[in-house]
Amino acid sequence: MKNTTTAKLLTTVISLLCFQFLTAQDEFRSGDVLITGGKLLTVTNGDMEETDLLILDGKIAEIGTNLTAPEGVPTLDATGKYIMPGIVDAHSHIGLDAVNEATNPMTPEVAIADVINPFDIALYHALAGGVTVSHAMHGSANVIGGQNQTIKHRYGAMLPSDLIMEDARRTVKFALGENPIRVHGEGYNTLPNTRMGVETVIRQGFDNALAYREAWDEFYRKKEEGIVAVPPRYKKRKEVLLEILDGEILIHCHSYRSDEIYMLMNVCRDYGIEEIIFQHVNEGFKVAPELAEFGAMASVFSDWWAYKFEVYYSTAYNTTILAQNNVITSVNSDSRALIRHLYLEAAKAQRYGQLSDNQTLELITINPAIQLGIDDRVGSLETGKDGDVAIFSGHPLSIYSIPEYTFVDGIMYFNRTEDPDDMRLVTDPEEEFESFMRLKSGRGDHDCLH
Amino acid sequence: MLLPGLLVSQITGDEIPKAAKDLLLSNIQIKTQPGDELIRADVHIVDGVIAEIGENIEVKRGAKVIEGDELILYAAFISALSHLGQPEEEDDARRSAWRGAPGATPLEQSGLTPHFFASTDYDPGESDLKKYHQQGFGLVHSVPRGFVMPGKGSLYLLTDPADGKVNTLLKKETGLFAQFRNMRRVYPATPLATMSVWREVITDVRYQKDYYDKWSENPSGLSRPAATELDKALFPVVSREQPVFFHTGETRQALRAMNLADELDFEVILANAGRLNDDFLAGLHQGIKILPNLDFPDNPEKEKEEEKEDSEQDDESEEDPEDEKDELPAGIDKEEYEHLKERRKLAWEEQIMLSKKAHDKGALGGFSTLSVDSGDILSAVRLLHKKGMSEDELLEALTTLPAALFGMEGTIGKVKEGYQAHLVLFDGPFTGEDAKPAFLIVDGHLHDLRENDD
Repeated sequence: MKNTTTAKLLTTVISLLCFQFLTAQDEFRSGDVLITGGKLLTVTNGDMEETDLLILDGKIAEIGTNLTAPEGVPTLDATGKYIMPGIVDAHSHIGLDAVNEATNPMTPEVAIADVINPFDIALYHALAGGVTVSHAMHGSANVIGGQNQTIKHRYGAMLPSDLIMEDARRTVKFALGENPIRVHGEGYNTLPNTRMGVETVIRQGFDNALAYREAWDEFYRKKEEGIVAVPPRYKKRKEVLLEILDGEILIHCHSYRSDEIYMLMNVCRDYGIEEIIFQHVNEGFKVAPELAEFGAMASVFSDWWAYKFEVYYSTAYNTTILAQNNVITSVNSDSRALIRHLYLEAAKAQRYGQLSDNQTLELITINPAIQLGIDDRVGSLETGKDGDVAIFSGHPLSIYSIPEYTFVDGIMYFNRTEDPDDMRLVTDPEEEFESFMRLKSGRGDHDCLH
Repeated sequence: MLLPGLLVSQITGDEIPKAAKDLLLSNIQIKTQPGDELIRADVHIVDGVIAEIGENIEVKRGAKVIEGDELILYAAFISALSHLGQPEEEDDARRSAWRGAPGATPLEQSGLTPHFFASTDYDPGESDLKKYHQQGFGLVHSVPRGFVMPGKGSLYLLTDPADGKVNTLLKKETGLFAQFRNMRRVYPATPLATMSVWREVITDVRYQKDYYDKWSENPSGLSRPAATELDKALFPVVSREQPVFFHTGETRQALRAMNLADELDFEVILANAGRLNDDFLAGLHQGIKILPNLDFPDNPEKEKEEEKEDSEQDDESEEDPEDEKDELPAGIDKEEYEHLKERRKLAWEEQIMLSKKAHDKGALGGFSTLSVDSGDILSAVRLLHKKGMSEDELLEALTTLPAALFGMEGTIGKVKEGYQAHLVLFDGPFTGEDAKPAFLIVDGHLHDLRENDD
């Protein structure tokens, strides 16, 4: 009898925790779906009128007309709607329990993958804006920050590991300029106190890591000769720096001014690092040809600046200038608020710089996917790619359009017609409902880190 | 009068000794171990050991005898984790001791002190000791306070060391206590760096241990090892001889601890666990033990009932239909309010049910009393009983499971011949609402708990 009661209670708990999804979108939770009759914005293969999109087992299986749903596969009628690839945000901090390990100018050993918070309601809000993938980044307190993690917005998952995008390229945060100088130089009276110091921290870090490698090489050489030697002390920080030098981890660098951007490209050249993505890059327009020549990429705000001294020299034409100079460019959010309407952030670039519709969509789809090393998986509507799809009422670059459905891996995670106020996954047994009221009123926390 | 049926012959009042070399519990109901039926017999304790359990045991002249036909004898309860006897933190002082850059902090100053011991400063104090006694506890696993790796825990007998002049330390090193708790402005300051520090330190210690072992075997021609006391304290962790009691209040912390244990190959015990979700429990590896805390939030439903009772008592005649409406928080309608209350209740249930779920998975290792007020332990245990845990399951969590956790299942945690005499006598089944312990016997030392009932 007691066991029955317990089992009943457990079932109630489980069903209540998942009730929104199970009741509202149960039909579309298998990873299989046929979306019919919509206008496809494929990004890499032009636009396609009244076209069907079949997703099977979480992957785009077929794109065409008059497709038939295999047995048991549900159909979603998208006639008159616009279907685009799930939006990719190359710079975000949502879904995290910690952002900055701001106690050392160099912390590449720390990993954002360790602090993912799958319960963050911002993940659901991002889905409501059509964003299916984000680059969860370490903050910009340190010259060399932590390793970032690309996540899929599988909101509803109760385990952090379920959000991790498998096989995404490993990346690490770097930060130049005022932030690390303020935190470490001014805050702790240590390196870096100036932009020169920032460069020194990076060069010293790499040099020390190379010396560390030599010490271990020596240890293993002796070992092979049968000599028992005291092992060098194992240093996680230097291990990761070596992986950066070896090109296994991609640098995403917080930066604003053209001089420091140019400086880091020179440092990379000196150490044989061939790939780099600059984040923010407000003065990128001054060094766009140099960025293109290096092969560096840029991830920018569309029109956000003047929040501190180093960000005054900015322009809303930055995105366009970079893109027209053949720098692979994306528009990012870096914010719990902007991530809800990243499609409009991209549209602003078009408003100022007259990029084409497709060029503009690239800013939030295939280009950030390239920057994260996941363009073989997402960023366009192509067979074989992940079933990450955002469906809008009209063209996503129109101010009048509204995201209506969002799919990740062919599973519907957002449905505007079934969107209860309370989408939190966990609640506090002692809560007084303030957190819910804040959410309901739209006054949730915004931690704008930039 | 509070203990009807209890007779204490031959020893009374002030004459009750603190220590008894030879003690007979006569004609007493015995719960020998979880799962067993109550039996009625005599229990003879000699020099701190259960010498005999049987009928009509004859003892030497001068032996102390307790006769209590209504009393029920259990093995004394064991707290699987607590800070009992550990000095209050001086974290601010320790922080201020470091004047350099926060990223260049020596490990000890960052809260990595695996070479510290709970036994160094252990002093339970009379008041706390008494509180534990009154909850039926005879043994406690005490772990040091601190930050990332506070140090090694010790298992203690809960008897007054000053009075009895006995050694209360039963096991000096039970394992390493660890937590996701950081000092401010010192590396590691977040779980981000805490995870990394674990990876670095444990990997490094493996290298150092490897060399240290070779040097210990034959130091001829070898440089002195670089291993420090801190490193050496982690040797038994990397060799899996000692587990890590990882303070994991909720699912994400528990996952972090599990990930570290998997990656770095050490034994982890999820200590002082609060809310662990079902997805986590479903994926829990075989053999991982959980020590749920008993620090339960107030039952939101109970509060409601009490409020209702109060208002009925206060004002029965003038019931205003608008009252309920007035109680709704601004901006929330009745339907939403009911929904939120239901979710809050389920969140509460989720926390309460952890022990039962862990038990059913074979993952329960005992109860942590680290964060619960030591005077509220039995109330929490009784709440678990109400919520479906049987008396036997609870007794396991209080006796045999923690005994096994410390590798002492053959000597403590049962009322069995040859076992150490750590026993508690309740005046009824311990899960009963009004049951109280009347006597506690620790290492054969008798503590009369009845005086507080006067």
